[in-house]
Amino acid sequence: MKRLLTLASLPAIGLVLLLLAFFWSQRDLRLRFLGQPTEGRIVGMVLQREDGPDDLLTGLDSDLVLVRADGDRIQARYRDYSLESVSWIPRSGTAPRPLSPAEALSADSVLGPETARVLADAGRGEAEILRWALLRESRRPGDPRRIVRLEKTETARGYFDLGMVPEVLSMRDGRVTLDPQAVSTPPPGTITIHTVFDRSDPVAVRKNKGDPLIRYEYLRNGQPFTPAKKNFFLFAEPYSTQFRPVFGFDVAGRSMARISQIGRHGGPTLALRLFEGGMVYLDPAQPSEAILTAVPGPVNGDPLGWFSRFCEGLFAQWGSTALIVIAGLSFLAVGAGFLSLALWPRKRL
Amino acid sequence: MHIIETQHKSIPWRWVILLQFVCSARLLALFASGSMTFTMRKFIDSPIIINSVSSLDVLFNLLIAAPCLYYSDRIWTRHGRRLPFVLISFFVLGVVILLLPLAESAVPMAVLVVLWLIFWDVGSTFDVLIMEIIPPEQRGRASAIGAWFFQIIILLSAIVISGRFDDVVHSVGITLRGEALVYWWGAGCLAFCVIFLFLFVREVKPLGPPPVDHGRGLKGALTTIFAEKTLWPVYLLVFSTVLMQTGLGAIDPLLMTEQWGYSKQDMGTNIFVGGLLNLVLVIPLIGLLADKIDRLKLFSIGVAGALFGQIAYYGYVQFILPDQRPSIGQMILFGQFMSLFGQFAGIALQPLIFEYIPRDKMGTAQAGLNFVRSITRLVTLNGIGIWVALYSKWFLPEGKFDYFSGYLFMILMNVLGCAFLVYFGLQVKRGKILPLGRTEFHPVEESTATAPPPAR
Repeated sequence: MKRLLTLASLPAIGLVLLLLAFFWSQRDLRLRFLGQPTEGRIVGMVLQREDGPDDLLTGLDSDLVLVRADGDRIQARYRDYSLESVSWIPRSGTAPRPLSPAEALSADSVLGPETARVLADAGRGEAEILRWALLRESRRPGDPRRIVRLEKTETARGYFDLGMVPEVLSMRDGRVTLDPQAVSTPPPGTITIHTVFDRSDPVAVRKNKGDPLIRYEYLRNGQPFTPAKKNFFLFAEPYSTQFRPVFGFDVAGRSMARISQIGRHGGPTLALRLFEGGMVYLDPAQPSEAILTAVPGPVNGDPLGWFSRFCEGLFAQWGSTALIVIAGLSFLAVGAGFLSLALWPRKRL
Repeated sequence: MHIIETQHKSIPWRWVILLQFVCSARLLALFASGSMTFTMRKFIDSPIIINSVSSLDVLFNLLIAAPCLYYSDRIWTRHGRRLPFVLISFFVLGVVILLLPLAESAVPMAVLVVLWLIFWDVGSTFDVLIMEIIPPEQRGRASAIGAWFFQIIILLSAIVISGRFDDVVHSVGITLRGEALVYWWGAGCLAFCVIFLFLFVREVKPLGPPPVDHGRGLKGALTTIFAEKTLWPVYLLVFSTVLMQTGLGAIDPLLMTEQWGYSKQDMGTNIFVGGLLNLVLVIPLIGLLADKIDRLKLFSIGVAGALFGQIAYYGYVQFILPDQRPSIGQMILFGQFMSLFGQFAGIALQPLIFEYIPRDKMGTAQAGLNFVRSITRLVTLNGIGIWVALYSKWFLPEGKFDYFSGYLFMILMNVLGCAFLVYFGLQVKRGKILPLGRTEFHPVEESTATAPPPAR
């Protein structure tokens, strides 16, 4: 009997683990394989703080002013990370030249490929990316078109200092909204972060130990605020803050939004990128239970970066299930191995 | 027979395969513990402290692992002599790693990390236990099977596990943090090991008596090790090679994630693609060249190549890349270049060392080499943490760290190691250091040729 129990222990644990894996991800499995797929979009981000109020971000605008070494200025405006307008203002005082986003960002842009890269980086980029961009520019000291100063003002729109954000949300005009009738819902607000990165004076940069950030202001609903890190809205949080994307989708002729089942500490989710698309799987009878999966997109640019994004999207959702399944199968395989030894032992040792 | 036992002359291959599962589970738990750098970083800013805590591993190697191994040769319990150490170790490690993600401040976290390092060394008798189960005739093929398992777990760790640390999954009303997932996976692997070893492995008492306990303690052992002057040149050789192998240690992942802004998944991709390249390109290339080039030449190429690689990497990133940030592809390329030369040096080093060790002092030499290696590693690991902290304090704004500056320390140590090697080479050339392992070796054929004929 003892021998039987010993031999049965490993397969039993293996089966329990497989059942646990199924129980753990039954909703994801059911919707992924039996649900109705539909295109969705990440329309917002919930910031859940460990010991503090939550924020619901519903829109993010940025205004960028690049100052070149020759004194020309380039102004750009981003709406939800997407470049909306670019204007080139020559130092000579001649009329500003408006550029289309495609014209400004193309590899053969009239602004030069390096400036096009700064424009592409600055829209979504956090403070460190702006530092790298200016450092990169400073490596071309003889080029009058190099960027020496960068001003970025980010305006985050949404609902701030919330007690708790509900899992299912409404959508109006493509934006996430909270029910204004709810007692605890504060009115929509804004957070403005103004930054200036300047490398025009090498002595001042050296004095600041190489850091070009010379100005940083964070206003929360108009009031000065000191965040955990001197960075833009989604990157100014301590590690403990959890970022959960909010995805919007259409079902039966109406738009709805839901908080994703996948979140991340330390910064926004990597595969589920804010204001980008994703695949939503839902049960038309219960659309509020929908799940979002990452779409890595085509391999353009760095294939290793794409591979990382693909793995991130796949395993952020299925990693925990995969590990429980691997553990269960290992227990089963080893249990089967011992059973085989008990049933068909080698004649002599 | 379904119980795996020690001391058999030959064992079923199914035992070998089953043992590989338990070896792999132990390694997976070790890989999971690799995330401790990130857990420490949550509460500790200073790279000095992070590297100091991690370097305790080397100290416990001397203070914990060595005595446990020593006494496991000399005791016998009803559960065997190696198994009690292993079972206690794995059980405590499992509990520690289970509790680690629940630590909410630096002190309990540090206590758990130190306990992990201590009990990992208590379990160092595990390898001996496995070797006592697998008889010498089957060890070659067993290690080939082990290498195959090892590659699988490297891929699994790099792709699935390493990128999960920051994730949060919400399901069935439960919130699972990635940090907890990684550590609890490790705890699960250790639980598997405990169940496996407790239920299915039995130690058989060896027939011979246990070795005698000399009873002179650590001081006596050290005196014996260092009193032997003929071994000093060998210690110098090993000291210089360990200096040359100085790495970033626990702050290495912080360089990629914090300083260069890559995700932990990118880090996994780096290990995965680098590992694949190593497997299909670098290792076959080394195999091809190793037998065609003289060992000493191979060692010199390895040493010079690794130093050149470090200088080239530092120079390329710091002075050529416009934003001082390499791409994943560039990291892999330089990493494999340095790995190639590092492996050249590694292959040639062991036989080279033994050329200078007299045959009758190999045991003492081995103990001395371990001691010198451990102490030097302890110093370099702490040294690099202090270097990075001081460099960052002088050249960066407060609260920022230039982990890449650690490469300057590595280059410095490499140059220092090279200088000691040149000195060693000159002493050999002048005849002041003799290859006693070769000159004092008298093969058995020689002694039978000169000895009188046996009496009838």
